[in-house]
Amino acid sequence: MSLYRLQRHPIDLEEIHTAISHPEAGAVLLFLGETRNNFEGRRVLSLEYEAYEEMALSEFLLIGTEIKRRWPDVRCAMIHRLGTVPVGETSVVVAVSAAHRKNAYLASRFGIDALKANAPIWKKEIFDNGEQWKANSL
Amino acid sequence: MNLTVLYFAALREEKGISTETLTKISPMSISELFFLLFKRAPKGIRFALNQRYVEGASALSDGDEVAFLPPLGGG
Repeated sequence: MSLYRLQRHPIDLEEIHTAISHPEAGAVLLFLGETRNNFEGRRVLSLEYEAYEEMALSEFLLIGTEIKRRWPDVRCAMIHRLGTVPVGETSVVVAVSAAHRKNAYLASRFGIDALKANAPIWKKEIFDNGEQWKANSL
Repeated sequence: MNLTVLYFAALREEKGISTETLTKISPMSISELFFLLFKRAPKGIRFALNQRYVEGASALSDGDEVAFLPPLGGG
């Protein structure tokens, strides 16, 4: 499997876990972004994601390269859903493995923050009485 | 020069299309092209040329893939 990808079907966490685990890695962290059921009191029914796909993948690779430069023992994977994602499902996974937990936590935090800041992906919240594009707070 | 322009999210809905080819465009910067197409300043918009972030003052070249990126919402 590719460790950096966009997909329109649910994310298989065990597959990602298997892909980044290795015998020298004593720490594995999976950050899951999940779709919330409300925004400022309004009930969200589902979310729709779209991406500038080629550029999003190249940003994932740039982030992965930077993680490798800062923490050479870290392996990472980034997977993002596109299309309609029902409330309560996983929309993004940033997975890291490292020799010890310190680098795993640092790389995980860096990875999701960089993805939200720079990967060209957009999210529309669908309410029962409307919809809106929702920007990340950084 | 000829350019391919990509629109996403709110800008795609505003334009009603996700991509278009522009022909016979005079030399200009990417932010000037935004102003030409949307008739307003590119407030909150980031720019990409050939799938890399660039500054608004970046000059366009023939054959470029231009993208205007509204505030991101990934994650």
